[in-house]
Amino acid sequence: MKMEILGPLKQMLRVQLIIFLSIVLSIFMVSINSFAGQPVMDMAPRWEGGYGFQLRYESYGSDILLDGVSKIDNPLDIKNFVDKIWLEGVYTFDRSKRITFKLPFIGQVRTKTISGIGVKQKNSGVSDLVIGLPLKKYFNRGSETSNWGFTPSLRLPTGSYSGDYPLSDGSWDLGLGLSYSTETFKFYSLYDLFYWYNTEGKRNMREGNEIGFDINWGIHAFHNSKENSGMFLMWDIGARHHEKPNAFTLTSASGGTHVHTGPVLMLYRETMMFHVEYKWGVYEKMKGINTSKGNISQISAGITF
Amino acid sequence: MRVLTKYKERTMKVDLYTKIVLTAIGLFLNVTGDSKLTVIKDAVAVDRYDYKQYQQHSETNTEFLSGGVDASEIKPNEVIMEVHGVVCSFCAQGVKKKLRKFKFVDRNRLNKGISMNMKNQRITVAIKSGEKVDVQGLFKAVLSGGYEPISALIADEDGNIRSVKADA
Repeated sequence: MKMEILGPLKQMLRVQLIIFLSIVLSIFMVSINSFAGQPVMDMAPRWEGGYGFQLRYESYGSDILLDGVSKIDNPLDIKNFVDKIWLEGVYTFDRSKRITFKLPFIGQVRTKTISGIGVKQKNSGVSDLVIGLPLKKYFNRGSETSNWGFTPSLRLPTGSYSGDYPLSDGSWDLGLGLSYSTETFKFYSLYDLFYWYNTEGKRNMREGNEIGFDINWGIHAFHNSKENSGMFLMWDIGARHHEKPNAFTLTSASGGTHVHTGPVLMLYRETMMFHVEYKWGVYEKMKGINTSKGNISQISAGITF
Repeated sequence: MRVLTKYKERTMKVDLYTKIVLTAIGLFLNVTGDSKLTVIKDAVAVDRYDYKQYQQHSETNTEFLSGGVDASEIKPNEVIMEVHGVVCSFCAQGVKKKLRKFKFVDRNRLNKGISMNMKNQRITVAIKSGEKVDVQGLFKAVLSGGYEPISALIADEDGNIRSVKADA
């Protein structure tokens, strides 16, 4: 009986997914830009005294259990879903120096195996604040603008580290990013390599260090000088390798290697921008048995002054 | 029951994304419509342009052309600057903001006094009649906006044109 109900439902879901993906892909084919590990916006604000804010919603999670790269049965319904809303801000001293902040509000739910049974845990609240200092060297040559970026970052333990499923491991972490982006009237590309050194935090928790690389290729599909509006369509490839957290770590960090890829749409009008992206997990290798990170979706809206 | 709830959650997410994408397409189409309209308006503007003024100053125009800006593009009481790196108006809004602060900029013309052409890296500034232009100030504004000013053509209200190169 249950299967009879689920069959049509799954079919409906499949059809909706196909329609959705077709729309996203068709937009991509028509026209592209990127954010990657870069806080807030890469090319803007690049003017002296410029500043901006962005709200970004990020969602990922899965109930697929992996042993290394292999999918295995999940009779206890082990899962992990995380939703984050980031408040991000940037201030530009001059085009070569900026300061940024990123503050996440996290809602997370998971089912974890404890003594052989699946136990549901959830938590929500403000997590760790990230402060960055992007240093950039711009090159404006004719119809091309490009920049090299070097970004030292600091993650402060502002999130709660208490409870069975804490939002933070309570540690001070250090990040370093190296990026290059180039843009012409029609094309945009960004390459971003970053590393997070995660120190041991409260309750002996240590999430493990992380290295990541992002590539964004895209086109400036549409632009209207008079209206100051336009659209970028891009394709994003992101790879992450996260060390396995130590045995005391109770946060959502799981470690492993992940590669995600998918389309990015960015629209702008005057001082406002809107961005949406969806990335599929195309490769995952977990350290031992753990849940897949799942697909990643992001939506954001920002404004510059 | 759990699966049904999960299905509902996923369906809601898919619906949300579908709506967002459709809204984005709608915005795109509207913007495209505006763009076509702009092209038509610009074509009319070109037809109205008094080409005689350009011809009257043909000798000096040769010099202007070497500066990267074609003098035939300019109208009286305008400054056209060649600015390297200007390829996206979202990124260049700081330049607009800084240029509009000058008192001699006529905010009633062009797009609040400024027009940008991202295809050939030109920024046009409308100047109030009878006002003196601070060209070096304009160059500095472009630089602090994040771009490289190269040269400028300045046309006074009588159509006399002169060129200025930005300091390297």
